[in-house]
Amino acid sequence: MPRVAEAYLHALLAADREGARQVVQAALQSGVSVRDIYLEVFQPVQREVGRLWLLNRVTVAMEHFCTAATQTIMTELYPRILSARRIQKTLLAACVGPELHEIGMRMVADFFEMGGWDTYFLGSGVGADRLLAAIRFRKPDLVAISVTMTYYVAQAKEQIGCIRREARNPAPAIMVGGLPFLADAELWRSIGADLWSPDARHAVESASAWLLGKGQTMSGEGTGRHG
Amino acid sequence: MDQSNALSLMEKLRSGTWHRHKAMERLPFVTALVEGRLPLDSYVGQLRGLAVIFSAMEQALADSTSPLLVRLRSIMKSRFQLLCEDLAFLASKCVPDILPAVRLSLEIAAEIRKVVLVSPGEFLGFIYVLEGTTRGNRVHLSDIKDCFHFPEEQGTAFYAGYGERTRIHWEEFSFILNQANRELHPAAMQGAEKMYEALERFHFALFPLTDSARGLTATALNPEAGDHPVPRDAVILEAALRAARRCWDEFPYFAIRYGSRGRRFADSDAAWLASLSDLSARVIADQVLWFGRVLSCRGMPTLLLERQLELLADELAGKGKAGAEEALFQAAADLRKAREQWMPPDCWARTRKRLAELPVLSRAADLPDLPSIFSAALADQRAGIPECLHSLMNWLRKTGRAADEELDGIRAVLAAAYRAQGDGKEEGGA
Ligand code: B12
Repeated sequence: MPRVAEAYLHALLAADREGARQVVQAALQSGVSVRDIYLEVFQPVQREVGRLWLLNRVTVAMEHFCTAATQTIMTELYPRILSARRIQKTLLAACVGPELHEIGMRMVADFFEMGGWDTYFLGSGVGADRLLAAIRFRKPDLVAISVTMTYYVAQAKEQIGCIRREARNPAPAIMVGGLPFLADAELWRSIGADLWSPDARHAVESASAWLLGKGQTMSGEGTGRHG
Repeated sequence: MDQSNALSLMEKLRSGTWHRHKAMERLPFVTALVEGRLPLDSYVGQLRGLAVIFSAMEQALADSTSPLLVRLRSIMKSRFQLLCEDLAFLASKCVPDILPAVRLSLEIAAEIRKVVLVSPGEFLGFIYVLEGTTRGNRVHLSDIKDCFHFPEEQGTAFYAGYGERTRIHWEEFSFILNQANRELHPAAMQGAEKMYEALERFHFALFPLTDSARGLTATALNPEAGDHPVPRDAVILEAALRAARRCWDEFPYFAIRYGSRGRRFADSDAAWLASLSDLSARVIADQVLWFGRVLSCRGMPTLLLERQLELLADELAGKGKAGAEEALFQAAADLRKAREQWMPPDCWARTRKRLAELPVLSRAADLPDLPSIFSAALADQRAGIPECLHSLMNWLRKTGRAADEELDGIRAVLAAAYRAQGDGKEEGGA
């Protein structure tokens, strides 16, 4: 797999979006799963691009290009993501307040979708009001909030407080994730979240385990809110 | 035969976007300007947003190797510089931003950076619209003057643009753009539409003004800063800007190497650093380390950040911001400790002295801080950031300040210092 990631990165750095797309298509045809493409190609490549920017080896423009290309290619994979069976659980996902980094959250949402959840991703720049309105409308089982820039952790805490106060019936579980939580393993607890996860794959597993622990089933039958 | 095929790109762009052009003239922003009732904040907001957009466009042009773009670049003036001049005159740094306009300008800038790589035709359409504003501006230059009455024609450099040369410039510009490959025409048309539409939305955000959408962003301090928080507290923000100036003055290296662009980054970076002061000590330490690395890789050793934090703490002293002062002072102390661990004070002093004695550095009278900067870069190298030294060496070579043998001389002093640390004395004897 690192070879696929390398080839993908190589194509992106040559501003060859078509080449990058072909690398992904070839990997899928050879049996690599969408999940692996996400976590073993897109994620490390995005982080590597960030590292190269930090080292002053790629320009901001190139970093933007890589991100935009990855987002486009992710969109093209949608048909493969949407086909999963449904489990009657709903996820509402958003990036906190002014946070612009949205690929991580989108990946997480896509993993939930592949796990059979109905997912609603509000994107970046979502204020508390919009988030609350969406919670009231969608009545999600789980609200996922992503933070990348450390200075927005405080806003995530405020948003969580707000959800706890304003959305009690039914009260969704709240999960957080993103770079600052990777750096500090206790941070999620200190801002009042119910759970966190280091990446998209674990996120679905932890959420399912957490809901099961609360007596909900994960099949849509039994005690699930939509059951 | 399809008539439109016979038309030049400029003719197509002009006729295809005529309706957009007319719509721009009817914007509430323009009407208010013509009627002399445009608020100054809307004008400042326009210049700030356009500075974000033009800096992205000019950077994209500067990075391009396409012959057509290279030719265009050769006849185009930096209108980003004109915007910076106006903003400097308006001393607008503490005028609150119009937040939706800032967001839109950042989105347009991001789109420019992407499009130049994926769709050269669309990029031509973008340039057509952006460069075309120079003609509309000429028409409205007198409105700006009548509206604001700035002394001695200041604050209007962007609107004045190419001045008397506007018409000739536009002819040259059209001539070059018309050389574009015909295959690019449809995309150029699309790009022009897209840019007009984006600028329309941007101007709707600028006027009429609503109070709720105001606040200060990093782009007010520096149009190239991107998107990061700045302190909401004016006392802290002003302290940050003063600290930036002091640090800048203490190290002439900054001005000589990084010029006015660096000066703008000094302000926005200082504001960002000050905004960290609300966070926990651990998070501050983490962010400072990260930022030190970013700067070091661009030729500014961590020592400079250490000093900046000290000055920031100093500026906050006695301003009733003890928490922030303490947090920033601690961050500076941590950096100092780490630096001294990689390069103890005696080794530092010896290396500095040896470097100062080298003719290549002693003759650089305008850069008395270079020996310290090099010593600090060595400390960074030991801490695992070799990029700073490379960057410094390259800069000295590229600017003709040092010949290859002289760089070898610097390397020899640094290598001796590096080796000496192991046994506490310098190799080759002092
Ligand atoms: C692309 C990018 C951008 C793009 C984002 C575009 C977009 N539409 O997303 C743009 C250009 C907007 C951007 C802007 C900035 N960026 Co940026 N960016 C990146 C970059 C290169 C990649 C991000 C990414 O896509 N990662 C890949 C995803 C898959 O990984 P992930 O986000 O970690 O997500 C996984 C997990 O964390 C977890 N997860 C994430 N969210 C959630 C949520 C839940 C609920 C759960 C359970 C799990 C979870 O699961 C995900 C999938 O497995 C990173 C580099 C990096 N190391 O990440 C820098 C980086 C994050 N940016 C950085 C910076 C500094 C900035 C700016 C301040 C620059 C500037 N001056 O403008 C601004 C800030 C903008 C803002 N207000 O948010 C720094 C941050 C350093 C720091 N100080 O902490 C980084 C690390 C770059 C670097 N190497 O220095 N950036």
